[in-house]
Amino acid sequence: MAFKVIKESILKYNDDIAENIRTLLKEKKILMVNIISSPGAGKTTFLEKVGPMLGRKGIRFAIITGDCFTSRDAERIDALGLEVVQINTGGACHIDAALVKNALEEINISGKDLIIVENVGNLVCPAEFDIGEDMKIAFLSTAEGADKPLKYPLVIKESKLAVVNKVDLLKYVDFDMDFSEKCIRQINPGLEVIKISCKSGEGIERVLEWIKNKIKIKKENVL
Amino acid sequence: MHEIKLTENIVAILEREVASPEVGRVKKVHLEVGRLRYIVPEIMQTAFINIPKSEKLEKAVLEIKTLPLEIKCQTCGAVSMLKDFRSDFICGKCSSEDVKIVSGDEFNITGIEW
Ligand SMILES: Nc1nc2c(ncn2[C@@H]2O[C@H](COP(=O)(O)OP(=O)(O)O)[C@@H](O)[C@H]2O)c(=O)[nH]1
Ligand SMILES: [Mg+2]
Ligand SMILES: [Zn+2]
Repeated sequence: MAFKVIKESILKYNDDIAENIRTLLKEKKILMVNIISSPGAGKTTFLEKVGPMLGRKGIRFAIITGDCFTSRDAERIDALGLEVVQINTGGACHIDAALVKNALEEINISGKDLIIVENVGNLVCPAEFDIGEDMKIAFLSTAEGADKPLKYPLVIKESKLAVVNKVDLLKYVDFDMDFSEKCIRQINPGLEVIKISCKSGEGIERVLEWIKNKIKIKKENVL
Repeated sequence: MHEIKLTENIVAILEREVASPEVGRVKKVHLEVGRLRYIVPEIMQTAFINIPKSEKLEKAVLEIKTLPLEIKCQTCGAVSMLKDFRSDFICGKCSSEDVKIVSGDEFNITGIEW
């Protein structure tokens, strides 16, 4: 018997492409955020809400939406006159770096400040795949139960911001916010949590400020 | 569900490794995967069988070592192992909630046997 020691990350191929994307976006000083949630948490609704607000603040951006088969989300965003590229994963439960690379080629990225990626609705696999983003945003909602951070710790661990959407529903659903926040802190102590409602608009401005601040930091970072 | 895509990556890495002439027909491929990676070994093994491979890899099987989810207490320094994701993230020794994950996100090919 012969043995050869290898120490190679299984994600190497994906990570290499992700690094290329990161280098490109660093050069162009464009911030990219990767929004990860379970289906129905409100990612597309959030983008419909926040897109026009970003525009009014003079932020130049494009949206990449991932979906297994349909282009429903992209159509919703397109209807608002926002720049959007649809990625169909052909059934795969996540977006990977190669798909994002192709999508970026369809966008005129020069002059952009921000790329927002709506990942496929799934709290497991998207957390696994680096797509060259500056940060992942874990997008939770009150309708899905307070224990999701505990059940899906990787996405919490990998994120730089946690958004808890649908706080307007708190009076109807049994969602223990303190418990949820406690779980989040245990998995990722420094993680900022912003509570929002896409319905009432509560908290959206805070997320916007958070993103604006990250864009500013990215632009100031000299190569 | 992400096992298939990841297994394709594994095959791609292995094809490059077995290209060197000193490597014979591979019997076993060793992987180490942390609990946080949510890998179901059986699904990955089946995917591995089904993905087309070169002759040297045809008969290979995946030996997947699952590494535990471990947390380190920031108060007393003790390292405790968590059985599953749903267990409370608290120190097994002093029950402090101030803990950090120290292992569980490994995801490597560690070797091949032939
Ligand atoms: N009550 C309430 N409903 C919301 C909120 N945000 C989104 N929704 C609803 O949740 C459903 C799923 O939203 P969608 O944006 O498609 O979720 P996605 O799958 O994460 O993109 C839709 O019916 C939205 O109208 C919110 O803040 N409050
Ligand atoms: Mg959507
Ligand atoms: Zn302790």
